[in-house]
Amino acid sequence: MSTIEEKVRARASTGPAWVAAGAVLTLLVLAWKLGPGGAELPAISGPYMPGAYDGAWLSQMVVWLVRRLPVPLPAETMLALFSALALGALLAWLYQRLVFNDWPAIEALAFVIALGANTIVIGTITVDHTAIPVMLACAAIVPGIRRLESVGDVQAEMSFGLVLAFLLLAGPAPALMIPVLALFGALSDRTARSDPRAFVAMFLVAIMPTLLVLTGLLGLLGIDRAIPLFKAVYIDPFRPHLLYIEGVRAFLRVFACTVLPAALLIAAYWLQLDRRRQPWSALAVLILPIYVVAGAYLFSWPVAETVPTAVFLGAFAAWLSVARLTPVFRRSATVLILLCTLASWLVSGLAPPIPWQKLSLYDRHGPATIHR
Amino acid sequence: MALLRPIPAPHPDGVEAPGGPRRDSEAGGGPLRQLTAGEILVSRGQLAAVDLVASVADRIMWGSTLGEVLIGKGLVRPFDYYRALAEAYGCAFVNLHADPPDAELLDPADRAGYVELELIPWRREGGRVMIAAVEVGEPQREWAEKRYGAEGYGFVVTAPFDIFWFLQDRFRETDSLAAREALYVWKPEHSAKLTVTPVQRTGFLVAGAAYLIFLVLAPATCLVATMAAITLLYTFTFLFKFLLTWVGSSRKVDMDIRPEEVAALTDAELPTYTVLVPMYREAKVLPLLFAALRGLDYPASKLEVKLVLEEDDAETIEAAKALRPPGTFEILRVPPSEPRTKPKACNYALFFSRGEFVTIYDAEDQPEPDQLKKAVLAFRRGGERLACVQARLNYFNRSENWLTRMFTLEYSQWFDFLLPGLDRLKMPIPLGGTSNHFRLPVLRQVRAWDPFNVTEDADLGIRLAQEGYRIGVINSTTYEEANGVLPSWIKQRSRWIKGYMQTWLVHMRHPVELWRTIGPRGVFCFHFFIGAPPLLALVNPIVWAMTIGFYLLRDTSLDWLFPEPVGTLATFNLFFANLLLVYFGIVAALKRRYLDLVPAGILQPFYWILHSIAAYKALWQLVVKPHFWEKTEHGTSKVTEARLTATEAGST
Repeated sequence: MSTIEEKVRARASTGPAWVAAGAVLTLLVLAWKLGPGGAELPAISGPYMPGAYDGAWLSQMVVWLVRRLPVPLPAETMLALFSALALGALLAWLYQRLVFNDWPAIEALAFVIALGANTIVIGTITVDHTAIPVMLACAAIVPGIRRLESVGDVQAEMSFGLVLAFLLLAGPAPALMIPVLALFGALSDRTARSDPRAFVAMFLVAIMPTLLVLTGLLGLLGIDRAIPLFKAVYIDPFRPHLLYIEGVRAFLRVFACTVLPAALLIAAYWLQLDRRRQPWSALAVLILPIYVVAGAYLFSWPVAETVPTAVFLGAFAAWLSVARLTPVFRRSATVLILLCTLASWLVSGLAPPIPWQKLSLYDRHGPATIHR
Repeated sequence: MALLRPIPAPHPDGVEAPGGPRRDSEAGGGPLRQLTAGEILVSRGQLAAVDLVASVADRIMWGSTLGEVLIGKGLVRPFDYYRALAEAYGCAFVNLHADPPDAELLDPADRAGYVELELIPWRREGGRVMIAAVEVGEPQREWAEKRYGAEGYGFVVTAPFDIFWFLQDRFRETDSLAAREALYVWKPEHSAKLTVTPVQRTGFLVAGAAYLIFLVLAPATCLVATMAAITLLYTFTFLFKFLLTWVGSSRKVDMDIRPEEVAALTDAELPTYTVLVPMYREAKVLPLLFAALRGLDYPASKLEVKLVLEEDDAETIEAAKALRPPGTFEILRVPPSEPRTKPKACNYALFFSRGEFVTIYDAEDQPEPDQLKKAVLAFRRGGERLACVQARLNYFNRSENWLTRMFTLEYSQWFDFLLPGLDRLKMPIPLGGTSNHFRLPVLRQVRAWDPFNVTEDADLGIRLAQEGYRIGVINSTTYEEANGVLPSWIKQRSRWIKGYMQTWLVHMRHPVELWRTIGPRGVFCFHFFIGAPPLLALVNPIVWAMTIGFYLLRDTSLDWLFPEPVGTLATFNLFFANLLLVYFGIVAALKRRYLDLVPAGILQPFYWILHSIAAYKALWQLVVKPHFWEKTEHGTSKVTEARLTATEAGST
C-alpha cells in the first residue's frame, strides 16, 4: 500500500461486510428472540397506491415483492430478513463512507453500532414503516445540499432535483419543503443570483423531476383517481390541527432526549471559523427535525412522535457520511450518538424481554394515538 | 568511411556529382544548411532578414527544421525554399513536374518509406540511383544505402508537394483500390461491403418464419410477448442512458486535461500532427476552415493539413488554391470510385500522412484552439493502448431555429454526458463524425475506416475496442454548424441511423467473438447504444399511436397487450423514462450554459418524431442503397454567412 487513499480503500473494502453481517445477525436474533410478533406484515391500505395515505408505500412495495418471491419461507420471515438486510446495508454503507472520510475504523465501527442500536432506528426500520420514506428522504437532502455547496456541478444539480422528487413521494411533510429547497437550489448558483434567465433555468432543473413524478403519477393512476388521492395525501394533512399538549410533550420528550445532544455538535460545527466548512448542509440537519415537529404541532400530518428523531438520525448520519471532520468532532459525534442511543433505551425504562415494536418511545399506531 | 563524402559542386547538368552530399554531422548538420538556405533566400529578396532571425528562434522553440518553420509560417513558398536548400547542399534542385522520375525505379513495397522520409528514386545517372529528397539527413542516407549500397546513390533536392504529387499519380489506382478494399481484404467480417452475410440472411429468414408461425398459432401470446420484449428494451435503454448521463454529468469528467497542463507543454516536445479535412462541394466555407485551422494553438511547422477533395470537385479545388494556403496545407485529390464516401477519402489521405497523430475535421468545424495539445496530453497519459480520443462536438448556430435548438440539446447530451459516461465506465465508444484524434500507426493497423459503412466513425470505435484498444473523451469542443433545414436534417439523420444499423449487423456476424473481444459490458453497451436506438426509433410511432388511442380516444381495446407487470413498466417508460430523457436534455443545456435552450428542451418529444421519420428512410435505404452517402449540406446557416462575411472582411 503506497498511499493513504489506498489504505483507506483497503480498510473500507472489508469493513462494511462485517458491519452488515453483524447488523443483520443481531436483528435476526432479536426477531427470533422476540417471537412471532417480531415481524408483522403491515396491512395493505387503500384501494390503489397502497401506503400512499399513511406513507408506508415503501414497505408495501416490499410486501408486494416478498409475497411473489419463490422462497419457501413465510412472508413475515422474508420481511424481517429484508428489514435486517436493508439496515445492515445502510450501516455498512455508512461505515464505508466514514472510513472514506478519514475516520479510524474503530471509531467508525463504534459510531455505526451506536446508531444501529438506537431503538428509534430499529423501530423505524422494522415496525414503523410509515416513517421510512420520510427518514430516507430527509437523509438524502443533506448530501444533496452538501454537493451543491462543495461541488456545484451538473451532477449535483441533477441529484438535488431527484432528491426533491423523492421528497414528494415521502409524504406531505417533506413535500412542503420542495418549493423552498428548489429556490435554494437555484440560488446556490452564483450566476442565478444576478441573471434571471439563469435563475429560471436552475429553478427548472431543480423542480422538474418533481413535476415529472407528479405527471407520472397522474398518468399511472389516471386523473379520476389521482386528484382525490393527491388531495387526501398532500392537501388534507395541512388542515390546521393543533396537538393536545400531551402530544406536544411526547414529541418534545423524544426530541430532547435524542436530538439535542447531537445538535450541540452541529452548532459547534456551524460556528467554527473554517473556510472549508459547508454550513447549509449542517444547518439542514438541525432544521429538518424541528420543521417536522413544528409541522406536526400545527397540522394533521400523519407522523408519529418518533419521526422527528428518526429524521434527525438519518440526516445526521447522512451529514457525517459526506462531511470531513476533525478528530475532536469525530469523537464528539460518536460520544453524542451513544448518548442519544442510551437515552432512547433509558427514557422508556424498557426491559429486554419486551418486544422492540412495543417500546414506549414509539408506537406503530403513532398518528392515531397523537391525534385523538 | 564510405558514407562520409565531400560535398560536391553542383553538377553542370543539374544533377549532383558522384558521392552525394556529405553527412550533416560532418558539415555542421542540417540546421547549418538550412540556415544557409535562409541566407540565400534573404539575399534573393524572397525573405526578410528579420523574419529569418525570428524563424531561427522559432525553430529552436518549436523543435522543427528551419524550412518547416519558414513554410509553416507562410514566409516563403516551398518551391523557393527547397531550391535555396539545394543550393546550400550544393546539389541540384529538380522540379518533378518538369522532370518526372523514372517510374521503373519505384518499388510499391517502399511506398510507405517514400512518404515517411519524403524522398523518391528519381533517375539512374552514371550507374547510380539519384534520389529526389526534401531533406538529406541520416534517415534518408540509411534508407538509400540499404537499397542501393554505399556507392550506389546520390541525392537531388525537390519540394515535398512534388513528391506527393508524383506518388499520387503513380499509385493512383492501387491507392484508390486499397482505400476501398483494405479492410475487406484484411477482415471481411468487419466490413459493411455486404450488408448481411448469407448466414445472417438465413438466420433472419428462419427467425422471421418462426415468429410468423408463433403469431399464427398463438396470436395473443405472441403479441403480448412482443410488447413485453419492446417494453423491456425501452426500460433497459432508458436505464442505461440514465446511468451514462449520471456518470457523465460529474465534474470529474471535465477535468481530464487541465489548462495548466496545456500551458506547461513546450512546442519542441510536440509531435507532427496530421489534420484531414474531407470535403465535397464546400468551396463556400473554405475561408472559415482556413481561419479555424490557422487559429489552432500548435506550431505551424508541425501541422500537416490535408484538404481531401474529390478529383472531380473542381470548384472546391480551385477555391482552395485561390485562398493561397500555407505551405503546410496540401490539396489531395481523391480518384473517383464507388463508394463515394468520406471514409474512403480519408483512407486515401492516410497514404500521404506523416503525423504521429491524425485528426479529422469537417469543412465548417471550429475546434477550440488548444484541442490538438489536449489530445497529445491525453495520449501521453493514456498509454499505448489508448488509440483514439474524441473531442466534444457542439453547435455555433444553436439559436437559429427550433431544429438547431433541438439538435444542440441532443449533441450536448451526447457529447457532454453519454460519451464521457461511456469513457468513465470503460465501455466501447462509437466515435462522432469529426474531431476524433488517432495514433496514426494504430489507425493503419486496423485498416482505418470502413468505406462501406456510412457511420464509419461509430464502427471504428467498436473495431478499435475489438482489437484491444481504448478510446477516451477529452474536454475540448469543436463547434459545428447545426443542420437547420428539415430535408437536409432528415438526409443526415437517415444516414446516421442507417450507419448504426450497418454497424450492428456487421458486428453481430460473430456475436461470440464480439463477447470475447469486448466483454459483457461492451456487448451490453453495443446493443443498447448502437442497436437499440434505431430499432426504438422504428417502433416509436406504433407505441405513440397506441398511447394516443388509450389516453386521448379512451380506446381500451388493446389493454390486453399489456398484462401486469408489463403494463406498469410500459407506463413507467411512457411517463417517467421519456420525461426524464427530456430532463437530461435540459440539464445538458444547463451544463453548457445555454440558458435559452432550457425552456425549449420541453419540446424534445416532437424532435423524436423526426427521428422516426429518418429511421424509416434509413431502413429503406439499408435495403436498396446501403452504401449511399447522403451528403450533408454545410454553409446554409445565417450564422455561417455572417462569419464568412466577417472573415472575408478581416482578410481584405
